[in-house]
Amino acid sequence: MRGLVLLLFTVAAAAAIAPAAARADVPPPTLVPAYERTVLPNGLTVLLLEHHEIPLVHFDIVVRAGSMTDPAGKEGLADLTFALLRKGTQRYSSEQLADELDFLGATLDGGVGHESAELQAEFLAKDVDAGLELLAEVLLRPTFPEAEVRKLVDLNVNGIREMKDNPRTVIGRYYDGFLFGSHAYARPVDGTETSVAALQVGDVKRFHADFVHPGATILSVAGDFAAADMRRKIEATFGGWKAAPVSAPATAAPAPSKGRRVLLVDKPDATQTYFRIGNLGIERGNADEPSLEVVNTIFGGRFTSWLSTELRIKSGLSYNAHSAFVRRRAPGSFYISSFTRTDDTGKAVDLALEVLERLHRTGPSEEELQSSKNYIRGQYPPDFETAGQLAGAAADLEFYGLDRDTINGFTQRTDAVTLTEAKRVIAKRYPRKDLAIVLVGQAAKVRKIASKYGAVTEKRTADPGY
Amino acid sequence: MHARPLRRALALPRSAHAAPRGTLAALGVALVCAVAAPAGFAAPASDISFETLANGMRVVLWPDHSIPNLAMFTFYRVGSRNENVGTTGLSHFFEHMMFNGSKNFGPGEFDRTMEAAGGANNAYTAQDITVYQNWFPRTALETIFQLEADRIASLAIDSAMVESERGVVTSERRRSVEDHNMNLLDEQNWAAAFIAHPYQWPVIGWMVDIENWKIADLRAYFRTYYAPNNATFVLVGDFDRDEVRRLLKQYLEPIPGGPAPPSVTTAEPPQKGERRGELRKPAELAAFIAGWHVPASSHADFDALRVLEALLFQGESSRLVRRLVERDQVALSVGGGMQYALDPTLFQVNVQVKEGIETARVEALLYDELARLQKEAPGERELQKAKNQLAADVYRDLQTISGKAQLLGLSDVYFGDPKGLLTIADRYARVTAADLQRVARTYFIASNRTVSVLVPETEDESKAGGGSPSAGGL
Repeated sequence: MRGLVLLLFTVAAAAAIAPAAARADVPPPTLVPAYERTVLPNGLTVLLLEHHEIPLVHFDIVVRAGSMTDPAGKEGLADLTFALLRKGTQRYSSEQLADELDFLGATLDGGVGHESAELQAEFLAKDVDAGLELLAEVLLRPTFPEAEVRKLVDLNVNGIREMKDNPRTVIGRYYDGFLFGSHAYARPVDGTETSVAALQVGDVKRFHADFVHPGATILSVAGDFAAADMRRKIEATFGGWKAAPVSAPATAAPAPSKGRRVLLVDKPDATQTYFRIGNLGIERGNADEPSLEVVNTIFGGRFTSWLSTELRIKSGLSYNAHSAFVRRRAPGSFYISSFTRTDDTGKAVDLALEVLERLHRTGPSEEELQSSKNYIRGQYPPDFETAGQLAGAAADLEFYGLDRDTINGFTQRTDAVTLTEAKRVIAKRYPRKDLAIVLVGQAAKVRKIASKYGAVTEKRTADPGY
Repeated sequence: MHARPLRRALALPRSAHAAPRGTLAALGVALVCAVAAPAGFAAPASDISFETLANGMRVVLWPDHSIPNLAMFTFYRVGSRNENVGTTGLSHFFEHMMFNGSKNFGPGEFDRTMEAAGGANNAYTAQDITVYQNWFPRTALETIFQLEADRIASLAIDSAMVESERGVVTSERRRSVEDHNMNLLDEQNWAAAFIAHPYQWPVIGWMVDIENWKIADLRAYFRTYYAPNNATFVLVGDFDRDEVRRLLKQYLEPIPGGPAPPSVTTAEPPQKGERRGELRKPAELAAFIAGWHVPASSHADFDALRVLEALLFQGESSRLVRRLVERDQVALSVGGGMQYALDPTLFQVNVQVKEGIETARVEALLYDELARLQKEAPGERELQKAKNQLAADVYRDLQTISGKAQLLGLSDVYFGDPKGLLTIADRYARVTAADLQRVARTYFIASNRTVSVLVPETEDESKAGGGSPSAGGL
């Protein structure tokens, strides 16, 4: 969940008319306004951001615990635990909670990443008191009824099976597994068919008892409320939550992938080959973020990016080709992603590799650099438009220990990126020789092509796990 | 995570990732709310203006200065509904070609120019409409007008671009249909439910048609459907109304209008008996889709059907999620509903069946739930819950300039009034429990039903081309 994807986009420049480009000399807008930060005596961090556009209030509750701590063989535990929070509490049965939430027209979703577990909820402003009470119930007082645990385990196992019918849904899990190897980032957050089936109610209760504590939790609220008023309500609702020692799991840096290695995943009825190519990227908060945003916009982050131009616009090989850096506490992945009909697999992979090589060999032009900066500046504000986005941004900054300037000053930093700097980050951050390559498709037809790129490991979507 | 309603992916976007902002609400989602953007908020609904240019283009403007950006959406009243046998999917393909060159901007320059000015775009095609979306900073306003006007006035269809785009669209079809079981099943169900009306073919078109249409088809299509008088232009965001009116006058108003496109006269004859089909292919899980013919969005029963949709699918407490997923535990997910539609359409229920469960049993449970609704009117609290959910959805859609633009355009196309959806929750509020019971009795009857079942085969069965006798077929 909290793995952020840095997706950016390409271009050569404008032709017939001079683009009335966004101007660099205009100060950037304050996208994330000042917000109140309070730490309650029990350690709960509360962030309150007033945003009076629409009468909604969005809660983003982030706990510093995630699938990183799932025991081996029990992958999917954190994910299951957070999905179970709303399946019964001391005051409400699962059905009563659903009735209450739906009657309020509210939303409540759990979501888990490797390093964080989240509850997102949204209520109409007039229902905020009821909403807070429900939130405290699900976060602090879940009962994890045995029947609900069994039901959700069964649903999740079926859900994993169903995902495997969609190559583009599962390729990321195969890629992470192959790239990160023995590192915890290799684990699928939602587990595997076998690991989820092994989960017991005791595991879930232990996870909640061990990790869900006020000192490990950020409660970020944005929307139509008065901060002082909201703070009093939160103190009343969450102030009594008992403090406990917090053991935030440390994240070791993953090791880069060496040489060229290929994972071929057989999906015999696929009509296309779906592929990812890459290696390690950067961690959230890395000083190279602005430079990489500028470069990746050109390389694979927008419609006219180099990858999209070659694989889609010029050749018609694919509907989509892009690249991304996934950022976590430690370096996440970098990948190139595309797909093409089975018979064109070699052509498309060759082309993707060629574009990557060209990035290293020639790099972007001055014109492309300027276009990229304009694009980033123009497309940035809508990321901070809704109460949900703003609550998420504040929680994100707190989680990674960053300040508002990370966001509000971001486009000033992207504007300052020079060609020399672009070339530096390309050499440093984009893989060239060492590449992990994952192909999902008809193994019988692409096996030979796959072996051209490196030593091949084979798997089948029909087998458990990734 | 598995109990959410699935919505038919009817709207095909031009690009899977270039849409930089959150996915818009699917067309089927009921948009509004009792009070749109209340006074005192950044963009009160009283600021919405509507006008018609001399060439017939309808224009809706809603200034909103909350971020220094704009959303410009152009809704054309053309989609797969306007196609014919042999050229199915042409609307969607044409949508792609709108980005591939016009008089003053050669192939590729539309996107390059827009992105260099800080803008991004996408477009989607549906059964009734084709929508072009531009998202950009206020500094790019005039550039975007120039680009948009040039392609509307003088699109240039380049034959090399047609061929490479054909490859793109076949790849898109493989990705979203051939390699996606539920979408493949959905395509089959519409094809079975409609025997006369063009809703029978998929928006993306049959593969063989994608491979065979000619450049002349595209040129004729442009002339017929892309006159300004066949479009509604919506602009929401950080602009000055006077400046925009000047730009409209300079760039869009001079483009000549055209004759009204031919109307779609084919009406689907009433269905007089259940239709069933099977789809046999390798799959991890079985699934089925049941669909019933329901009227167009302009029909008086639309409101009751929309409230019924929320009552059946929306949230974990909804009837079908509770029955099939939570209580009887026979389905991984259940979802569906109906889209906004100019002509009579389908109300569908999509069910992903769990491993080891007979599909026929799940189907019977679904009909049992619908029969319960026919026998017994829902209680007041349950009815109010559905209305509250629909009203809250409106607020969520109003949170972004993009959501607002979508809402205004759909309002104009489907309700003939750009503000129509802003007050639709008032209409929902008048729906009674008896109305729900009545529409359930009217439409959810066996003879009006079309069912398609996905029967998983093993790889070997699939290769043999045969397969075992139907497991759980009715």
